[in-house]
Amino acid sequence: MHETPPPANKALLTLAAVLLAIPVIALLWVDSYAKEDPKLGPWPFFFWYQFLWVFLTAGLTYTSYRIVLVARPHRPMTTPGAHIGDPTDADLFDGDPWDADEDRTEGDR
Amino acid sequence: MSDVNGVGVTVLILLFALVTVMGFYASRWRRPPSMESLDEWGLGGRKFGTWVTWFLLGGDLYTAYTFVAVPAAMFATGAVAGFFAVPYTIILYPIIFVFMARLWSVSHRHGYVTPADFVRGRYSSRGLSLAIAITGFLATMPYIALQLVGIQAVLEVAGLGGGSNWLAKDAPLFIAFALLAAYTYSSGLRAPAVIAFVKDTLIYLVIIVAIIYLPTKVGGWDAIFGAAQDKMATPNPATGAPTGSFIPTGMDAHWAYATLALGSAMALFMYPHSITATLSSQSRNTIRRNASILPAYSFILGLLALLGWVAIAAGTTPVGLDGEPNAQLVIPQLFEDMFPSWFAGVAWAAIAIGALVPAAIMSIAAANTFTRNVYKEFIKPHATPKQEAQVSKLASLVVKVFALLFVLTLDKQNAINFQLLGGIWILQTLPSIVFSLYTKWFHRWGLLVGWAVGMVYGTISAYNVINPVTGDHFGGSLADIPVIGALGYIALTAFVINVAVAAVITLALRAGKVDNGADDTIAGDYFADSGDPRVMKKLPEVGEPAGGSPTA
Repeated sequence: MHETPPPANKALLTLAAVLLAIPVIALLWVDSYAKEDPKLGPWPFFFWYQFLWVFLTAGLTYTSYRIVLVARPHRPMTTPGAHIGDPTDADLFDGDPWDADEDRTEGDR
Repeated sequence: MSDVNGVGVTVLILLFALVTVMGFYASRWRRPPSMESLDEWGLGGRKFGTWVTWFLLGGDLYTAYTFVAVPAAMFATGAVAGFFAVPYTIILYPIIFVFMARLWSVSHRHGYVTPADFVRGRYSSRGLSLAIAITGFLATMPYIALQLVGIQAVLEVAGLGGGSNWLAKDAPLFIAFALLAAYTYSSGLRAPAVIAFVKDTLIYLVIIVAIIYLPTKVGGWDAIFGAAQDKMATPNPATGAPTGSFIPTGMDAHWAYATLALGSAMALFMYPHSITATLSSQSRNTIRRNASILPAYSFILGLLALLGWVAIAAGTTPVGLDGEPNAQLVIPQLFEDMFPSWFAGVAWAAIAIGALVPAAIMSIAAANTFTRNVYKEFIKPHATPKQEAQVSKLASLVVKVFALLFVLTLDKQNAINFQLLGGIWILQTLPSIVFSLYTKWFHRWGLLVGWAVGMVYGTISAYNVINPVTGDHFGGSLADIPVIGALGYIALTAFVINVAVAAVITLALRAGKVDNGADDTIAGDYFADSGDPRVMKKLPEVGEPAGGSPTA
């Protein structure tokens, strides 16, 4: 089961990727903003426009974050219902979720 | 300049002493309960909420790069050389948003602490893993060198050192080095954790005062932009060309600006210290959530960059103790000229401590990579934890000695170039790390040869850049991009060549059905989250605990 990626909503993932690509493309396209006008008060366009992208990028990144959480919900790597202390799960039965395949005598953890 | 600013120096020394004492006590707090909490604090706040984490991380993002190198580049040659740091630190976050979650998952599932560990697990290739580890070690050196230049700038403006023989001339640099070495050696990573609040409070205080108070004192932003525009248009006596760029104009400037931003953004999170910091977050999506608020730092970074132009408007003349102009001194000098002397001392302390702590974190992270992926892998596989800790300490000293050599041998008039040189090297590890998070199409030998070609091309190109004023090699990080014919950041050109070579060799080796190494990972590993079996809450440590925060 875990040999494949967890299922995902491909359309939503693509949307998130587009939102993330927008600021990268906008800021790398220097031609589009390397000019003095229109000024914002004393500020040449070149400067206030890049400062504006700080906030736009924060918004776009946060939106992408919300989208990816929905687009690919976490698929637990245990069988459904396994929990710490579960006697059916070798990894979890003793409450130490990562020692199942380790040599106990050596453990310095 | 020749005068020692008595009050300022006293404040600087007092604050420094305070931080040093705190750091020293930090190393004594080794009892598990308190260490646990310190550890969490230092590693980016697994216990803290988003906003406190943001505050703490921010203190580490402001280093000598932001306080000294970027404003100095703005002061000396203008927007192309300095202001690219703003788009760089904006697009950084969408970029790491994409791949860091995968790296977090696979690392926590398999106990990988360094990217070299991951590459070894993915390809069973010790050679490729060694290449990644050594590059991390090497690329950290110039980045630490930049921090040394920052501390040196403060000491020089404060008037410490002086005289005419070579030893006295470089005295501030040797003091800076000695401070850093003693500090890291005695306290390890716990020191940065303990002093985080003091350091961050100092840094934010100085930033806020500087960006609100200073512009009003020199006649407002109109006067600042006007003065900068005049200076940048004035011909440089050595070359006859304009001094620099007010706003990038022309194809060369545009390409340079864009490639510097993109190359730096792709490179930053390949450094050992950035990766360890990211891996210490509490779940796979933490870095994504943080990525949406971290760009706010870029705003302050932009204002700090413009302090270089505030200094132009203020008529600051940064002259070193040797009587030569030195742009790196511009911000400490501006603070001395404009602030009351006691606050100049506070501001200097903020810059110096703000360089010292990241330098300590970087050297320890680089040393841990060396210990784990070179020493333990190739030299002494059954080393005891005590031996590992000793090797780590020694390696962190070695990395700092090399950083010192970088400062002594390379042109330190343009300190931002140190960071860019590190970027040229570290970016060559991106294909092996990031591409491998998505696909095993690339062949391990293809990646290795591509890396080697990129490293050689990048180093030779950077060596061949001659500073037009001083005639030194490694005078910059821009060179002609073959085919396109515009000026670009060498790191990115080398990266493209690296990927092309890797792809061609991969095609050949795949056609010949050459084995690509066993893969320890499965697809599901790249999506694991905390709570899944075997996903470690906390990754194992090498000698000293690895950690820190991303440092721009």
